[in-house]
Amino acid sequence: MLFENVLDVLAPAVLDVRHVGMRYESREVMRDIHFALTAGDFVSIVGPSGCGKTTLLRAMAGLTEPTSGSVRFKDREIREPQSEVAIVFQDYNRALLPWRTVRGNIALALEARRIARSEHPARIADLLRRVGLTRHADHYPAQLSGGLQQRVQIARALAQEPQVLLMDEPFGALDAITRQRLQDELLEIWSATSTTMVFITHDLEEAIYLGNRIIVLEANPGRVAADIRVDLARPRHQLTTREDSRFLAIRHQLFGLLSAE
Amino acid sequence: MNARAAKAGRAAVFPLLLLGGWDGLARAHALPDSLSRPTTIVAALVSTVADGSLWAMAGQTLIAAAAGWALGSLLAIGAGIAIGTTPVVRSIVGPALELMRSVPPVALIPVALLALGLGPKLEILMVAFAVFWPVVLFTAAGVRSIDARLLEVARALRFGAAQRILHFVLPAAAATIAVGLRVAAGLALVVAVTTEIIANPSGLGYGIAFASTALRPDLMFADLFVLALLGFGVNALLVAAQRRLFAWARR
Amino acid sequence: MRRWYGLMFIAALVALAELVCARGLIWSAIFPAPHATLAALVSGLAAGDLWAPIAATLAHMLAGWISACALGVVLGALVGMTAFGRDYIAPTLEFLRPLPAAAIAPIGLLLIGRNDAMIVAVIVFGAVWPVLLASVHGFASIEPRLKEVSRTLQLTPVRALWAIWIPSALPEIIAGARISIALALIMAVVAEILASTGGLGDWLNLAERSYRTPELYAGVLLVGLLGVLTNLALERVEAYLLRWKPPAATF
Repeated sequence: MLFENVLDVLAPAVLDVRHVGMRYESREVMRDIHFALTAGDFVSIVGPSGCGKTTLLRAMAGLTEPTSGSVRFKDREIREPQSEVAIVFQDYNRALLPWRTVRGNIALALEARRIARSEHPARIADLLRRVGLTRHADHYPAQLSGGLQQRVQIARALAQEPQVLLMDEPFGALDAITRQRLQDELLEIWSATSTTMVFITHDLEEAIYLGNRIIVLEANPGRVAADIRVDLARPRHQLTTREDSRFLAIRHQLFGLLSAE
Repeated sequence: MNARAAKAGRAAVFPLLLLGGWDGLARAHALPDSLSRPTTIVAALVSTVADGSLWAMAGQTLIAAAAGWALGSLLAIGAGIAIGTTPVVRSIVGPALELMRSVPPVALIPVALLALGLGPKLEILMVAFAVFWPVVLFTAAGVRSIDARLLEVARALRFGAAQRILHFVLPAAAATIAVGLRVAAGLALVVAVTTEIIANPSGLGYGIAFASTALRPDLMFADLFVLALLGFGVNALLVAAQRRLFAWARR
Repeated sequence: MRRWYGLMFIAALVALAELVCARGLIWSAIFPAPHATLAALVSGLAAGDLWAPIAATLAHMLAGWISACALGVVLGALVGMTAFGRDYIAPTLEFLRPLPAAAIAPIGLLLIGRNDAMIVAVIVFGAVWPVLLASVHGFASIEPRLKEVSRTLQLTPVRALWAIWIPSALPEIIAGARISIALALIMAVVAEILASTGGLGDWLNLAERSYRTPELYAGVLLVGLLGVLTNLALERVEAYLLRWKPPAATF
């Protein structure tokens, strides 16, 4: 207890997942998941299918309420979505408004925050530049590739100016090259802001490459199996980082944890 | 079974409230007398059922609608097969059909009245004309969507044109044609009733029009209720038949 | 070359009709020669007799159609967006939908009288169903993910309605509205025939009663033209409003 308080003083928790459990009727999906996120952290969450990764993320976003325990943002309990917590869904083709252009989709988040229309163009231009979509501002989602559509969703989430950005396997449906490019762009965006990132993935290498910390979940019911620090130098590099012996060591460790069952 | 009963119960709440409100307001003389009252309407309904006039009217409407539907559909299936299988026919008659289709059938009722006079012929031909269009469109579309490979097989097996149509084209397009026939059946009832209201003095349509001019709102609403029931019944019957016959073609 | 076949066929039909009439093979009191119809149309337009009925029908149909769309979309949203509406209201709508809409015209006549209000009311009742049912379905079938997006962005209900619900239901609403406008024209003609207070329906009715067949056919032609033109106009509107849609797969 004392130890937790000391940590709070050193690096205050932004998001606090407290003994979260979830059941659907008689099925237990998650049991006693407990961890805290410190400001500016980049946390990857990995786990086998059925470990409740997505359910956990939805609870953190306030989209579902846990059956037991709670999720707290700073000093308040999350029961409904919070403006400081943004989420990027995996299925970009469903999460974007097909009837709005790229610009319009980003503007939706600004409209939600009631930002004056006169400020929209400058803010949108800045967001477009950060995610590399300037050339596509007036295209409709259906005219864009998957990678570009996912960038739109990220830009919309950033337009919320969130303190925490939750991402649910955002690159899972993309091809390998696009995926690596987006990983590096995401790291750049992260280092330019102080946003806390939570990144769900089933790709172990992606989890290590991106994160400062990896939370490993095991399934049936979902619970925390390990909480691993990743001390790899930043900025990371697609070749050298992945060849680093510490990278490989963590990869071994994760592989062991996830194939143990 | 319980869930179904609950569903039916929920469905009945709104109409019952509506009828109750109507009756209450009418009793309090808050509505014009020409709106009648649900209880009076039920009495009128009972009397038309009892004296047999309802059955006669409903029979006339249904027979005219069914005859027109059969005639129009038969012609339309023939035309649809010709259009669907032969591109030349399609490009020759296509625009003319498109042009004629855009004329609302009701606008032709005065023309038909002039040419045919009053009577079942007028009503049947109006229904046949209206029904022709959806059936021809669905038939042509169904025939065109047949796998070309299937027709090649038929040709390779040296079937004649008539046999190719009977054994290959019709079965393959049957599910699509059935949709057209169902749409057409709903339309047939609508056109039959419309013709009866505007011109032909027979059937439920005329019953409603007559009750209206005779200032008998109770009778008018009773006929209208029967008509709604008929429309609903015909539609439900055809949907069920289509499900049963073409369960394999559901997409 | 193929594209000219259709026009040549239409020209041939007209020429044939002309020939048949000139030879006196058909009674011209029922089937006037095409040139007589054309002459009646031109003289009616030149003398100005036809403009008033055209304007009246167009006004009736647009007033009825616009009211039907407004009513249909609002009611459709209430029913489609809420479980209450789907459970309690939708079944009644399903029961009323197959009711032949023309049957409501005598009721309008009795309750409202022979005037424009009755004509518009009848059109609204007849034309509301496609747009109503389409918007019920449109609002009920919104992408669930977009509801979550709306929650995470904390959109106000009004903003969510404008930014997400309405655009999401719009393709179906427009499809329904296009069917509705065709029905609005049909119902306008039916109601005008019964009300005989002006409009193309009244024109057809009077022309038929006084055996002025060229005028009658000119009226039919104009009704068809009105249908074609309104359909084309709505096609344009649809293409503009749904420009964000990826082009449909053609096969």
